[in-house]
Amino acid sequence: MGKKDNKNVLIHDDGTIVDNKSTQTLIFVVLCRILTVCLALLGLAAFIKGNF
Amino acid sequence: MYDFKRRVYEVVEASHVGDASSKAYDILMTTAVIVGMVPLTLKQDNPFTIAIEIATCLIFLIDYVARVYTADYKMGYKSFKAYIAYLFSPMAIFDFLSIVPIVSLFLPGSVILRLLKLFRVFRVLKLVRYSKTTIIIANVLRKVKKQLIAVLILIIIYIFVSAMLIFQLEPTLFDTFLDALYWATISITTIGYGDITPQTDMGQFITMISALVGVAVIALPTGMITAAYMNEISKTKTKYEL
Repeated sequence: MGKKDNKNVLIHDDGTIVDNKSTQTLIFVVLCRILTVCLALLGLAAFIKGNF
Repeated sequence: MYDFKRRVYEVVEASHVGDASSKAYDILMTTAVIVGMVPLTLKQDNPFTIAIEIATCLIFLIDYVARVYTADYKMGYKSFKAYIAYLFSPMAIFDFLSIVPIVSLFLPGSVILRLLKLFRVFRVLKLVRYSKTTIIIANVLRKVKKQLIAVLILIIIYIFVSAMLIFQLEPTLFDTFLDALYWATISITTIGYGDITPQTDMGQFITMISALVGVAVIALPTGMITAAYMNEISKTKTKYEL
């Protein structure tokens, strides 16, 4: 059997390679980090408002 | 073909070296668990705690759905039974219990539902997945389980025997047998609050024996756990050296 085509990689006419998986990973990582920071700030705000 | 399900499984499980998505997800989950515990440190809810409750419960709900969805990978066999077996596994039950507190937001008046908020403490168990040290400790406890149970039975027997003795020797000191059990537990663990003190010579003699036995018996599990822990650490080191 022949090797399967990698449909996640797009090679433009000018030779630029765009990997969908890398873009998806980047979006996911950025989203996770934004959520992490938001949660940490919420926790800090709740603790300060409740105790001081 | 890109296996979406397998990728979801890799992300929700503890991260491997070089997997940025999984690492970011682990950090998010750890933060959600820690921040989700903040409302328990406060006497009253405030707008921020409600926001925390909604956000963390949504995150835990998505995590739970993703874990159930990839249960066949987790259990190691592709069958409907894998999903059922996973749903009743201890970690899946803890995951489910960590979502339950959100119900209390919609029915704030109910006393029982207010108690559901206490289920937040189960969220801390989610951290076990993300800490290698905790996994080692869990393995250690599993290995010395039989010895720990044996020591626990010994302690319980001793507490009951000394409580019965002191209850008979100092009838005026204790209203109920539960008070005697409380005294025996406090004495054997060498805490000694001093709120109940024996008055007779025999009572004081039993207290002295309890304190001495307590030092020996309570120290036993500590030694066993430490020995097993050191053994586990040396095994891990050998595995990496080989």
